[in-house]
Amino acid sequence: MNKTLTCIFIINLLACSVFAQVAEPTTKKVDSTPYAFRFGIDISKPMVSAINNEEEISYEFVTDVQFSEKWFAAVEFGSAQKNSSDSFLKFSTKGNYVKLGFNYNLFENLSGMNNEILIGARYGYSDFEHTLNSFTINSNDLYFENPLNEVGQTYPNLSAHWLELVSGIKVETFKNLYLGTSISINILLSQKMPDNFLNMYIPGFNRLYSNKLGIGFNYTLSYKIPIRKSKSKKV
Amino acid sequence: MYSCEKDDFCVEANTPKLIIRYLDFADQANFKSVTLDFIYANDLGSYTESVGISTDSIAIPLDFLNNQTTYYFQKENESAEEINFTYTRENIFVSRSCGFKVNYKDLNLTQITNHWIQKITIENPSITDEQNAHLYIYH
Repeated sequence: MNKTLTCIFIINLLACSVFAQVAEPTTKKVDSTPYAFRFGIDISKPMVSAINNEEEISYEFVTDVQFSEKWFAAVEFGSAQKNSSDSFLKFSTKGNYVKLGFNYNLFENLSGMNNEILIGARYGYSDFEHTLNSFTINSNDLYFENPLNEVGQTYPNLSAHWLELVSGIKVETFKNLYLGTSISINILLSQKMPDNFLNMYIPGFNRLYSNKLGIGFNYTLSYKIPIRKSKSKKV
Repeated sequence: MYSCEKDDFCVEANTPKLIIRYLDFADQANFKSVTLDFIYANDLGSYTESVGISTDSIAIPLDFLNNQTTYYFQKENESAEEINFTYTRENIFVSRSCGFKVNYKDLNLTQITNHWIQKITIENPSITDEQNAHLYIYH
């Protein structure tokens, strides 16, 4: 596993432990706004684009609707364009994706707090295409000339369906403004395969490991619009 | 995910070579070893992996930029035998870490000279692996 992911894990763990300490005393919950719409963007993706020297250009919008004290319906959608390279080939992938699902808030908020420790699941769909930019033939023999083949061949009209298990946190930093991070484990359900090539990267799913698994994460900045105030109990 | 991409290594088979076995022309059920002084293709230098040792089988690469390769087989104390191989090529995607390999189909050959090789038979015109001989050379 690479460093980025390890960092995210640690950040998540730290954040969880901080929350756990704060949450210690069990006071009477005040359900302030059980119904709310939230909209935001993944702020990590533009940063990754900048760091990776435009090897990857992607964006993601995140929305969710709180429909009970603990439950959220969640939708993410976005677009990705990524160059990948390995020992014998370079290819690029571009496409769009959408993820639908739910989150459940495990966190017991104190009065006036609106933070979330979330677990959830998503169904994901992406349509995309690959372009094989160049390759060299894999031969362990150096007798004949083995040049780089510049091809530019496209593999269009591909798609994939997958399932995600999501875990994350959302912290209200200012009134109605949330910072969040989440990590997901993605399991491929089905894919439309290119002819004589492979889906090695899928927008939204990310890199495909062992033809089945993927890992995702996001850092989001989102804004909550309360839909309806419930009757708040005055003490 | 974003940084290290090369976390797996190619373990699958790559581009196969042409496998040749030498048989005894007088007694065609038996293999018969050959020691080559030189073997070279086109205008390239000697293909060193297959010379100087007495063996009844060799593996030689085919040119994957062209649909033909001419090899010169020079046996000890004999003139070089010139054989022209023709074939079609197919790039086969293997895996992320292995990329593409070449499979050769429709192998055909012409023996240009006639020094020490009596007969050549094509045992398998599709060169997709190195499990079995594709060619028998009788001498």
